[in-house]
Amino acid sequence: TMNAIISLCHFCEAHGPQVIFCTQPLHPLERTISTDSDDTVTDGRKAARSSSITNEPTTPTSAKNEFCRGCSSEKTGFISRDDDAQVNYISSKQPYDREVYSMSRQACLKSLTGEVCPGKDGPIFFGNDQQGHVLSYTFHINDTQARGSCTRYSILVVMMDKIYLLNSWPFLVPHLKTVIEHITKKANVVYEREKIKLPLQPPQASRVRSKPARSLIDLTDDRNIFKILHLSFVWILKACGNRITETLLEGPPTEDSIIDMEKQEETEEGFCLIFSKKVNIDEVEEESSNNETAESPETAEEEGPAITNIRHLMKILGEDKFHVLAHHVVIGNQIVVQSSMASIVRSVFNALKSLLPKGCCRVIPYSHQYEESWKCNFLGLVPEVELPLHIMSDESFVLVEISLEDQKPTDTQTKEEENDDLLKRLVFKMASPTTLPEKAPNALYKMELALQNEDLTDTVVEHYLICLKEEWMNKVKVRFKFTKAGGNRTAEDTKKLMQVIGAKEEDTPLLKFWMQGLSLQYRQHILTASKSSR
Amino acid sequence: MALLKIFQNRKCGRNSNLFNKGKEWKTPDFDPSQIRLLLYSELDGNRSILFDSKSVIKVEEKQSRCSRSSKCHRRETQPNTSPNTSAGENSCPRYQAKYQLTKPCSDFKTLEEVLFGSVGMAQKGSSLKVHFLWSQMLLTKVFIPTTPKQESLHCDLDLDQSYQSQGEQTSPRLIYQPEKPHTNVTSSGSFHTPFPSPSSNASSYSSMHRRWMRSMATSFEGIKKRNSQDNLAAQDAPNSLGPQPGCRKRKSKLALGIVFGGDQKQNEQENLIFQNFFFSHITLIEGHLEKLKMAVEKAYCSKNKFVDIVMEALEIFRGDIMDLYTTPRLSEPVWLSMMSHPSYRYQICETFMRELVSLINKFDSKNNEFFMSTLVTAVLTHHLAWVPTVTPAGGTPSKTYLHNHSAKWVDTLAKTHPYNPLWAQLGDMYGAIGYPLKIARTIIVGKKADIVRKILYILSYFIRCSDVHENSELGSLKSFLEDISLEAQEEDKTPVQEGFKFPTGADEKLENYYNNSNSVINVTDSGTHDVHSSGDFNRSVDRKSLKLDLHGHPILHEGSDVKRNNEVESSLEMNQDEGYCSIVQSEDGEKIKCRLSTDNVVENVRIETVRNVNRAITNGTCEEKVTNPANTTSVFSSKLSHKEATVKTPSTADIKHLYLSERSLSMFNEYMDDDSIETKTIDEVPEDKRVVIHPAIRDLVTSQSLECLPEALEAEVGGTHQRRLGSVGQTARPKVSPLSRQISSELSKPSTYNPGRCRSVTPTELNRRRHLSSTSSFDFDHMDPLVHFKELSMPSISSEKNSSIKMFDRNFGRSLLADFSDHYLSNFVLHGTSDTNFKERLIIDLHMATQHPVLDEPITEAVFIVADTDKWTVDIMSSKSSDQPPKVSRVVASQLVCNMMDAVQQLHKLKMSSEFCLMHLEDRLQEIYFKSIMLAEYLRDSKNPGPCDIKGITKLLGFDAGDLPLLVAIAGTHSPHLSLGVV
Repeated sequence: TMNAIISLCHFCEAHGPQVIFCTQPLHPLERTISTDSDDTVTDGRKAARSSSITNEPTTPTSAKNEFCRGCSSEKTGFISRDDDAQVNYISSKQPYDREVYSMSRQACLKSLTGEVCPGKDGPIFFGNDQQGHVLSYTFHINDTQARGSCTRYSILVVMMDKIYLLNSWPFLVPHLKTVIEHITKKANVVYEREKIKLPLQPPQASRVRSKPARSLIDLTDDRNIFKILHLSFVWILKACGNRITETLLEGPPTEDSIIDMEKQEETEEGFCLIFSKKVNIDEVEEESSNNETAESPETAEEEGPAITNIRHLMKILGEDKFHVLAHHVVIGNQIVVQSSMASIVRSVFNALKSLLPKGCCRVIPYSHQYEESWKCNFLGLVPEVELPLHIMSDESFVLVEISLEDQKPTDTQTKEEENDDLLKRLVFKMASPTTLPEKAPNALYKMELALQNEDLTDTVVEHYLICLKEEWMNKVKVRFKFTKAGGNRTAEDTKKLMQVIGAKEEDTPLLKFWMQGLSLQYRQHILTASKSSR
Repeated sequence: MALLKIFQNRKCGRNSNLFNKGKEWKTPDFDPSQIRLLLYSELDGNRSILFDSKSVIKVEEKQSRCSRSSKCHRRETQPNTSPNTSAGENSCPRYQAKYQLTKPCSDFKTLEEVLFGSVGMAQKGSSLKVHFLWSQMLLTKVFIPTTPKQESLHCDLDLDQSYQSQGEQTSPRLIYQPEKPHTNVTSSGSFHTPFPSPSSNASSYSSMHRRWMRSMATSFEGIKKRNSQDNLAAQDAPNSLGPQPGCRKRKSKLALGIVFGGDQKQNEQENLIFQNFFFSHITLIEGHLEKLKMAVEKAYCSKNKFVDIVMEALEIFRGDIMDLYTTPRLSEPVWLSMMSHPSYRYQICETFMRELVSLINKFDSKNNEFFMSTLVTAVLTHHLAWVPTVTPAGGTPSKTYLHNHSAKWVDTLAKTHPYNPLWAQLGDMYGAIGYPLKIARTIIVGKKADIVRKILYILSYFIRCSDVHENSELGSLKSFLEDISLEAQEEDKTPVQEGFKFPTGADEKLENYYNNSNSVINVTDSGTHDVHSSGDFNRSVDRKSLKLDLHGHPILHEGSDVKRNNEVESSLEMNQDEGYCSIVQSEDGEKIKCRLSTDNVVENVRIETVRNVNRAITNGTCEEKVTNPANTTSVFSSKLSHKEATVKTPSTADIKHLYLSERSLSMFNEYMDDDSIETKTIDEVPEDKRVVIHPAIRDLVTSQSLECLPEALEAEVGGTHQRRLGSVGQTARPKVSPLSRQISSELSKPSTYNPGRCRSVTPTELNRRRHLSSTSSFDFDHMDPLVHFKELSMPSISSEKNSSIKMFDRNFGRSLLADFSDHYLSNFVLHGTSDTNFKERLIIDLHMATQHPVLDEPITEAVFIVADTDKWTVDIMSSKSSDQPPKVSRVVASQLVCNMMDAVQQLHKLKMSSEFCLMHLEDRLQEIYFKSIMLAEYLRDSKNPGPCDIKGITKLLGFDAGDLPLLVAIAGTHSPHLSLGVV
């Protein structure tokens, strides 16, 4: 639809130019807002306003309550609902809104008395920003009883958007013409019929008698003529709005949001696509709780003390310990956290997750048995669980034990203070059979710099991490494409590629691990694209 | 060696053919000399012709006729100011006029009437008209000439001065200053409309917001606001003119008419193309008309040079139109072609990458000051429409990976909030999507056409816009008309309206109420509250007790006696809570001031709900109804006494009422049921009083509707109405479908929680909300006023999307990217030229761009990028600098862009597929986008980011100082609240 009003006007012998029927789309929402403008009048002036509505100065006919058939159209009006677009098309004698009404009336006056159309009948455009812009198509209808045997009519399209209205001219004019031809054709039939009946009456006689004007219904002998007009106007409004459409492109969703979606699909299907092998009942439970935490950390939040964010964790751990732990995290070593405080374990994982792309985070927050690293890189364990021996020797992992320093809390403490106090007494012990590479990935250094920088607020740090992760995921994508889809590559080429993406030797473990975090969608896209292009 | 050279040449030729192939540009037939200019004046009802280009002759040829023709000229203009005009003749010897007017053409009287209209009409401001003179088109501007500044009366053709004076003129546009306090920060800056503004990193925020705003700005709902502002301007304008000494004393009106096309019947096909072009490009053509108008205004005050000035301006106008219409366009703009031919995407991609990499290889080194990176930096900084195209879409439920994909919200938005896609496309092209709003153009200068062409081709990937489609398969209205007329004939009588029905017996509660008619139920809550709602809307509202006057007859009265109406006045306590007050008007009738706090943009969908309440109250106050003397039937008597069946013709007032009152009802309900409004609820009101409220309004409504529907009066009684009354009586809260309840609470959420920071809102979500919000206000079918109208089912219109418009004549994407030209061109978003001497024209265009914005909304700044491939420089000319001529600033390449270009080049070297290189390019653009978000966040959070600590920012956030202008510009599209004080 368009923000336009189409109206039918005629020049009445008795009342001058009159709007007799108009159709406009009303957006339910728009309707409420627009009428609100009436309310800008204050209480004090309300009386004045309402009386001005009743004695509408610009509607002489209605004020005098005069009835003129020529100026009348439909008593009740019509409505068509376009449920799809949430728009109602309403036709009535006049627009409901006073402003809109006076605008239509102005347009009507100009169309039938002011502006001149070369050749009398035809389309013209006129208007200004205050009174709206008008496309007017004037025409005449033959009427044996009218002065000069014809009555002048016009169809107006009024819009506030001048550009849109003029852009639509090539569409509107031919279609208005179609409607007009439809009307005049019917009227001509009546005219010819009546002319035969009254062949002797001289044309002047009608002028003297000044018969009351006839309505369009009489002139066309079609009681449904206004219904037809309504439908045609609705047709034009809607079609004109549909005529020109546009397509806009938007960027691909981030890897993180694709991962989110893929995870959602997993839960919907009850199983996960990635980890669907060897699933026993126990694991499914684990998996679903995992999803729970991943999707809505707030709801999964348990009572108890918690670490608020990655910065907080850094503070508690100390920068050196944090660095070691974070290094393990970003290159994908399994992080096993053992503690009796489930809430702490969860919050540690939540904090650490912000160092990784979502696709790289596989969390089993609090388990009663050891889970292998292919299942999870973040594993929370109750303190009693012993790590299997073969794990100790084979796997790359770091074991973090969180315990409490001994100190009896006093009874007077509130819960918050208690939690606070508790956080202060946390003791982290880290042990790993895995030796870390000498140099940590550059991305980690950058992350740490931002975390340490007190000038950056938490929000900025959050965005900083997003930027960094996106940047490195883009490198990962290139590397993925290069190794998985690029065919045989020499070591020379690989070296060059690393140079191109601005990665160094120490970044390789990170790139390799993060590659696992690429969404299935992306992988498939790259693989199929490279196949098709070959 | 020679052979090699030939080979190379041939290769080169083939390459350049790659992007020149396809439809070769076919220059449309156009004869600019057929553009005819007519100028009339009207003073005190006297009209006269001032100028007609058809009757102008060059003086050199007809020297001897000088005196005669100037006499002719004088005679024509006599009614205006004879002394002044005669001066023209006197000064003839001093100033050698180049042109002379001869006798006007025979049709001048006819045209005079067409231009001005048959009767003198009072008008404010200028108006634009279009007429058809058979195959010719006539474009008219009627205006009251504003006098250029005093100095310019001495009349050298000093355009700059006239531009200045134009700038000072109180044009309606200038009213909407973006800096205005209390104005919502919108892309258009012109309107404060509550909009569910997504937070900073919302996807496609800028694109959608702009379009939404346009829809709002051009819908009829904005009329009141606009008019009140415009009238101010219109009143001011004449005053500011005043009588100007030295100029023609009295105010006259001028009509400037331009006739396009020749007299003789032309090729119809050609005509049609020009007409399409004319109507789709009207906003650009109007810009040139405006320029012409300004020249005419100046000429008007400069008697002796009048004809020359006008002729000169006309020649410029002719040239501009000629350029705009006939300049060869880029045949394969890369971005658009990729969009509209997905099947050729691969091919286009290959070509593009090859060209891009070859240009980077050649022209992106130290020797040429990293020309390519610099140029791309400038283009990305100013032609901002690429930003939404890399903005990550929200979770799009899709099984396959989507690279740049079409935004789904567009269709929904277009349906519910109609806007002009052509306008949107034009804005995209000019990069007018940031805040503050700027428009940009790029000109590539160079002697070597092939290099310039290649660069143009490459840039057509970075300068992006939406693809516009035309749906030509709309079906025929004609056949539709024939079909419905058949149908309509069959349906003979309009069925009795199923509107509201009366209870057979007087409802007990109602009766009690009316017996108790003089009791005044007055639950007031008055006092001024300073309300802070949702942390954002902040205003003080006078909570007056809201009165509901019910004028009605007790049941026993006969309805005929109006004067003895008992007045039942009930003061209605509305539950005035924060939500409600937040939109209520303040006492002095001021407009709602929606001030967005600078630190967050919060969705405020609920505003609608509250307006409804306001509405409901106003309508509840129905003095209109009773004070209307025509209304002889009293409200309640007609309803309650069955004898009364006065059939009345519905007056306009009735119809108006129908709308107003009915709306109030549903809105009232909505308000009552909005769970989100934490109120002292209606339950606090004593039960008996509660009951009063709803039926009162309901009944008024009902009775009004019945007046319009006399047939319904005696129809089966009882049903609906009684049921409704009953339900109201019992619960005091009308039933609400669970849906609307859910909606209202959902809608209100975003504004209430998390006030500090909004999470990102995806366009999909926004759509859903908007969609729901409209549902919610329309979820009251059973009592919607609109039920009273005869419902006709929608005509069916196919809305299939058709192929994109490839022709230049009907869209801007294919029209404003020009090819290489031998002279500078106005209007074009991108073009190349060998011309180097165009600074003057460029300055004029800069001024025109801001003074007469083609986008029909105020532009803060116009920026032209001029890249010289001979000197390897990229310069920016801005309309903002007050210096004359404008300052030229050299562009420095952003390191981010350099890295991006380098990476693409290297990947291509490593034989990665072109498609992947392009994907990587897009990923890099997205990285830049993320960085701008980080910067915006930083600026938002940091307490005092003085302009001095650029170094600090760049070091902290890890980018280069050279990246800052780019990042800040991007931030303007997603974080409009940052009036960034940096750079």
